Amino acid sequence: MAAGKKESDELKQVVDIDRVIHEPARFLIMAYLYVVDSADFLFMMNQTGLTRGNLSSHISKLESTGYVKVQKEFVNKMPRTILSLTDAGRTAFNDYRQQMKQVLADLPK
Amino acid sequence: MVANINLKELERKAFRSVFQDGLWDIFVGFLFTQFAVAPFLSEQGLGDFWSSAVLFPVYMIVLACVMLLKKYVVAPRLGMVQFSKKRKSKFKWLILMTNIILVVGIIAAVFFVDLSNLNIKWLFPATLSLILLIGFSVTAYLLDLTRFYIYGAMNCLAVVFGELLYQFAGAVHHGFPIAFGVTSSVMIIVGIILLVNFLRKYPKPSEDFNVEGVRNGSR
Repeated sequence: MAAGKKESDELKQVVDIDRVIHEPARFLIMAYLYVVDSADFLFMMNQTGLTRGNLSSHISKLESTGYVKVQKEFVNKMPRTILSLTDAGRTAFNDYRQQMKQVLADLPK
Repeated sequence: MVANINLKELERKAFRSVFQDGLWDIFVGFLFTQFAVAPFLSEQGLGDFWSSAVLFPVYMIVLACVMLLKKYVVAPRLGMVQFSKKRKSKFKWLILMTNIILVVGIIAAVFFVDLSNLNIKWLFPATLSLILLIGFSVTAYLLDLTRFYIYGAMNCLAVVFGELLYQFAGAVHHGFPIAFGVTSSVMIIVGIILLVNFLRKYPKPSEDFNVEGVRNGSR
């Protein structure tokens, strides 16, 4: 009975993984934005190696979830898209890391 | 994926990308040409102070060119990034340490002018090489730039090598023109190679590129 409950808890942990962050490209975007204060679209594209359209769609998804803040501004009369993690995004990323570490640590060798 | 990713390394990679254009290597290389050129200017009657001071406007022009290239060539290709508070505090430390090393260097130079009548052959080169080694190492450590450790070792050895040439092979001006001519050339060439590679790796995107992702319907 107790073993069954443990199994069910472990399964719940896997099911509860944040699927928005779990996608590899989005995870990479979140990881980069986690370690810097902010970056523009071009910098993120260069760092992640994602294509323009791909990055754009993932940013859109992260923005709609409330994890990434997208700001439009002009620098030297040129429009720029500045990206940064929201507080919710930072918390979600930390939680995701903890959950994944736990899930992977629990795997049998 | 999470098991393999190292956030510190990721941040370091992002930070290092800002220095991959080689422009600071070119600037530092130009700064060190002073050690190679100034002795000859001093010989022309300018004296120790003015032979260095006269080159100051040249370095200011080089610095201005570096800043303009950063703004109009590098930034539009690489993009813009704001680093964490930890990185910003490291920059402040770098500025502080550079100033301290500069002041120590000036005090040492004044001190050695007073001691020039004494026959202490290795005191000056030993002190200068130590200052250069510490200066480059501090920069390399605070900026996470491995090649600056190599520059430090190279310039440190250049002082020793120059002094050896001066004492045993009859080279002029403590061998500085040869030794620093070589090291400054190496730094400038490395910088140019890095810059060319950077320009190849990052072609200039179209003007409206950075608007991507914010237009309605473009996502």
